[in-house]
Amino acid sequence: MKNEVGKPLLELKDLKVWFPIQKGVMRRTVGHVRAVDGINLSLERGETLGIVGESGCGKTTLGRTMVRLIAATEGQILYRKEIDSDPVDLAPLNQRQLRPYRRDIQIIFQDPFSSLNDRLTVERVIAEPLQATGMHNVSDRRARVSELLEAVGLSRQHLDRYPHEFSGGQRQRIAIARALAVKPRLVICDEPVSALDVSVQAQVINLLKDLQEEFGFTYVFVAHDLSVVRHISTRVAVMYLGRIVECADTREIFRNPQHPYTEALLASVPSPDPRDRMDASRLLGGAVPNPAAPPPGCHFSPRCRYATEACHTIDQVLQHRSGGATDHEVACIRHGELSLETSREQSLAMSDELPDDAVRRA
Amino acid sequence: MACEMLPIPTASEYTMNSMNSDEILKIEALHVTFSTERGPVRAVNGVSLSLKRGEVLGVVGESGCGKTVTGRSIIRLLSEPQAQTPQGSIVYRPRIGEPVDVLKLEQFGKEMCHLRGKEIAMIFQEPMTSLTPVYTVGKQIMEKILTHADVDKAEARAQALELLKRVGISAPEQRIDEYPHQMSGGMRQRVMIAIALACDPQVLIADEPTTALDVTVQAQILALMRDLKSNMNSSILLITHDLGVIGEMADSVAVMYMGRVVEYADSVTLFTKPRHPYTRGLFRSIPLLTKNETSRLEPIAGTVPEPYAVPSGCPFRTRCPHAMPVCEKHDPPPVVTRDGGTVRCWLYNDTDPEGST
Repeated sequence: MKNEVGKPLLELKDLKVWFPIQKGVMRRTVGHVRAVDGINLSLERGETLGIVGESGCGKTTLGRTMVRLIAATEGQILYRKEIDSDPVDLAPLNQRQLRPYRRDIQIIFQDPFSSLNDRLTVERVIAEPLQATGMHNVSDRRARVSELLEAVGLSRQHLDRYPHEFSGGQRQRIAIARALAVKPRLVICDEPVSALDVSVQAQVINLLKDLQEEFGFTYVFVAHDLSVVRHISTRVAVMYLGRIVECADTREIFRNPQHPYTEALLASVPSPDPRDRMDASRLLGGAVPNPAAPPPGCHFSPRCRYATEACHTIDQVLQHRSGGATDHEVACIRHGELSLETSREQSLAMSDELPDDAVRRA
Repeated sequence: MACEMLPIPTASEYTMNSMNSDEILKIEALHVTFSTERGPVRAVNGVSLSLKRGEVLGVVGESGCGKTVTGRSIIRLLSEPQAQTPQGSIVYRPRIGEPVDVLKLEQFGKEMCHLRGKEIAMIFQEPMTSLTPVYTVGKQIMEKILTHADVDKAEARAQALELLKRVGISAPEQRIDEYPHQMSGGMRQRVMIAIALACDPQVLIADEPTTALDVTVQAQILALMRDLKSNMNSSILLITHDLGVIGEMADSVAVMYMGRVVEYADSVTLFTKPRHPYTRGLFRSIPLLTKNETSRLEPIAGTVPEPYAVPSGCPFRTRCPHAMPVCEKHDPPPVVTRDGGTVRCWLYNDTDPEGST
């Protein structure tokens, strides 16, 4: 197993983020929303870990807790700056103690229309993190900002413009430049392309991939779109009600899903090929249960079509898949005995040549 | 009917005469202009479409291409002063009586109010904002039934219950008295569909019906819409930006770019043999669950031009890998393809634009 031998960049140990539910005049706590409920995960240097799940599964909370925008209720966030350095637990640190680590872990938000300050010029938006991390020379800063703009496919002409002058795709490029300004090691991408048009989505995905190749970032890519996640991730973790139910290499998880929830997610991805329509009988019914009162036993059991008596009573933990060749973890009591449907193979049927009725014009 | 009382202009007359009996809705040369501070914006610039009985017609395009405005024009939801009255014709064949051009009707007149909702219903994108938070969902469904049908409250409530059952809401007797905020996004969208289905409309306009939903819930809603369509023989105009949703649902597809339909084809032809460079670019830029995970996406270069500064000639030429000198001067007219669709691109048109103008 990799994470025992190598020393991961970031390691989450039994991480919990519970939000209190308060009621009445006295704001008495009557319960907790278990947004993140006991997650163990390790991130290798240079990998892209995709986190997928339905809304409300805790994937965004998990991402934000890694950057410590949200405080962890319990558990550890172990960060190793260098392979041979000692791990630091970020979870108990206060804002001041966190400062030296802030530049190493950055985040890109979903909505580029609300994540940029409309009153600042592009230069100031991107220069802010530089200033905060001690780059005080104005001309150095300006040079660095120009360099960053070029790296994300914009130009220095855009320095003095305001965010509202840009389209959604361009704004997301600015947000990416801001995240990269301080040369982070880990970048959390929280649904970075879901607010963008299809043609622009592809541009931003390619940009993120190119930047990773150039600067060697580690990405955590939070998204609900499985085809996007498959495209960019090297490993995928599937979340359900605050827990990881399956985690494996991208290839493995799409070809050989072991958890019924993963199977259901894969079956719901719409295909652009009208000759291959989805099988309604394999679709997942119902909705995500209330995370304040998760069902007993396996949390997925009420919606699972393979559930047995035991599933409703015995809670499952993530464990290595028996007999699997690769590093494949799954939290299902019946794993291995089920034969689950793999993802549909989608391919473009169009050829690179234009159709035969195209006219050749001189 | 209204059209007998009004003088019929030749445009709608032409559209009506050219309408086949299996066509239920025919849009011809639709233009919608918005006046903005920065000048007029032609949101829809000569769109022609036809919806057949029992068909799902997909309208696909990026934001700002005019697909939503086209949908809203059909039930006359756009009003002055932002939007000028749409030009062109939208002929609808009602259940009883002669075809009418809805653009010739009074926007809030009796005939239009009869068509809107009762014969042509709409499902909106945001189930959160399109239901009112202050009434129970039952009341909201009953409101439509009481407006359009001659029934008493008890009967309307019974129909509302039946509708909730039909759209797959469990425990409808209990849910009918709940408020929208007590429901999940998928459940609210089911309520929206229930409202749309009340009074059995012939045409359903679904504007991004699943965009705000999770994949799993999206799949449920798409399956529901497909089920309902086959049971009711109604037609659906499905507006979306998602080629996956199009692939799952549509029988034929119109691809829109900057206010016009650049390609129209049946869905299999569009998928296997897309002609317009924009359509081809869209297909190439979507990530698919393909065999090869690491392949690079091929985005369309650049971004959609500002609506105030539409390029001369073909509006796509600034992003098109096949742009030729002719594209800059002349806007390509639609031509019929071998597969029976249409495409607006000089690559498929061998007439000489210089000679024809």
